[in-house]
Amino acid sequence: MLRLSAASKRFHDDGPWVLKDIELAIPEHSFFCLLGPSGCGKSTILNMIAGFEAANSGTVAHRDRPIIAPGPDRFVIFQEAGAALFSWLDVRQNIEFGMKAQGRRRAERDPVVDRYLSMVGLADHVGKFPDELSGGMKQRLQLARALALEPQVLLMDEPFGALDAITRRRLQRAVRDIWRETGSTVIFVTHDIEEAIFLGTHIAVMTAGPEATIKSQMPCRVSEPRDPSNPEFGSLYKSIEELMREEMGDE
Amino acid sequence: MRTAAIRATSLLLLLALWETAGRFWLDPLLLPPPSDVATRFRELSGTGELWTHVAASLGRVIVGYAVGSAIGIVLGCVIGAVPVMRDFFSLPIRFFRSVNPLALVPLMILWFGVGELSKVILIAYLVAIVVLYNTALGIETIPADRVRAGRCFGLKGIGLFVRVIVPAAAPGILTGLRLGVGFAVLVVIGAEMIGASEGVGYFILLGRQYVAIDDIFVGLLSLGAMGVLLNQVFLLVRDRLLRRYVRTTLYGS
Repeated sequence: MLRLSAASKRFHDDGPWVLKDIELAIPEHSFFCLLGPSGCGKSTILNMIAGFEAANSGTVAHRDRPIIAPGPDRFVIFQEAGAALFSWLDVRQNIEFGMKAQGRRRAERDPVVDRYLSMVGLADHVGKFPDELSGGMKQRLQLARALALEPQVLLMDEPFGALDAITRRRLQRAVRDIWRETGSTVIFVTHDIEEAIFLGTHIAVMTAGPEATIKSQMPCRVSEPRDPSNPEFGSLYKSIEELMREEMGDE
Repeated sequence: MRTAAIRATSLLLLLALWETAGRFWLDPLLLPPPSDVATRFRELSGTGELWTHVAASLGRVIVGYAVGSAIGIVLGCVIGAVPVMRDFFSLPIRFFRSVNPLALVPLMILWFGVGELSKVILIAYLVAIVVLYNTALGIETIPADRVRAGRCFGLKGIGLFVRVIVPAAAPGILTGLRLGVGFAVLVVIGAEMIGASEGVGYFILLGRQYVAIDDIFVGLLSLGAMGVLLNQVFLLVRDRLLRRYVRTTLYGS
């Protein structure tokens, strides 16, 4: 369980509260989607879980241990893959980077790298550098290098926001398959309701900031296929859309 | 291929213009045409006189550059990576950046004599400032998510610095090192003009004293050739051995 209790955050003393009394309980192995209007502080929650930023009050804890720093048990898939990947390393070296940093031997590393290379579908591109990959392939590479450390939690910050619709859908399927196969917990930040319903086992909707908090939490138990042809999908979509509309006002 | 053709054309045109000007328009004593300069070049290199001077300058450039780069990289890393150091050094750096090293020549000579030391120090000084500045800038402009990714891998402190920050700042460091080559060649001449008994700068000054304008041109050309050559060597090393570190510069991210 990953838990935020009464977690509040502001960036300057005496500044406005960005997040106020966030209560989240994220079960192990869940695919937890955090939905909210732009600028509400979704990414800040993710950054606190990652350990990049500390809450000003309240607690953020993973398996009852307070989070004080980043660590390989919680790995972030950043939105801008080009900035987050290591441009001086090729595909294979990017994936084995973490294991090398941990001092693991080559014989130990190779099978892990091969496994995740094929899991994300990059086996034919091992010698390429990040700048030679398409946007979708860069995100696959980010996924693979994270998975190679077998983190308990994957934190994804609108990872497919910059991709075209078809690539986006393919990657959503890939992420869902990978989540099923690896059993890690995924915390997925998005502002796209459809994406959240397609992927999630749980959905939390945030209020608009400042002083943003969790407005509503619900399980997402829509049966397959998870697309608009399924009436369960449609009705969940409508109720979430209603919640979001309340927050965003009449734009 | 097209670039090479354009570059060759520019060089040929320049030579043709110079030859015409020197032969037909101006006094060849004041502007000796390239053919005369080439003859003089052959004479001077035949006796080995030219090479003594080129070797002297090149030696100073290499030693000064090596020392300056090493100091520049180390200081630049400290300044770029430690915020306190950045604030601490920002004013002195801005100050020393505006002090032309040639203005330091008299001081250098009084402190360190007219020997090799004062010249090497002068070159090292300028190279160090350029390299330091670009190294620090290279570190400061690393995308935040690249460092955060490194921290996700569990890296911190020296490990993070060596495995992520230095390679990510490599484009800036290499820019500084490349600029440093040019500045080293620029400053060595000035140093040699003030107090030296050999070196291309000294040779050019000698040309002035004897009104041997063709000698001056031979000196200038060797100077330019030295700069071009050193720059090519730098690019060769960078593109052969360090290519992976400048991919963001060459191809974007």
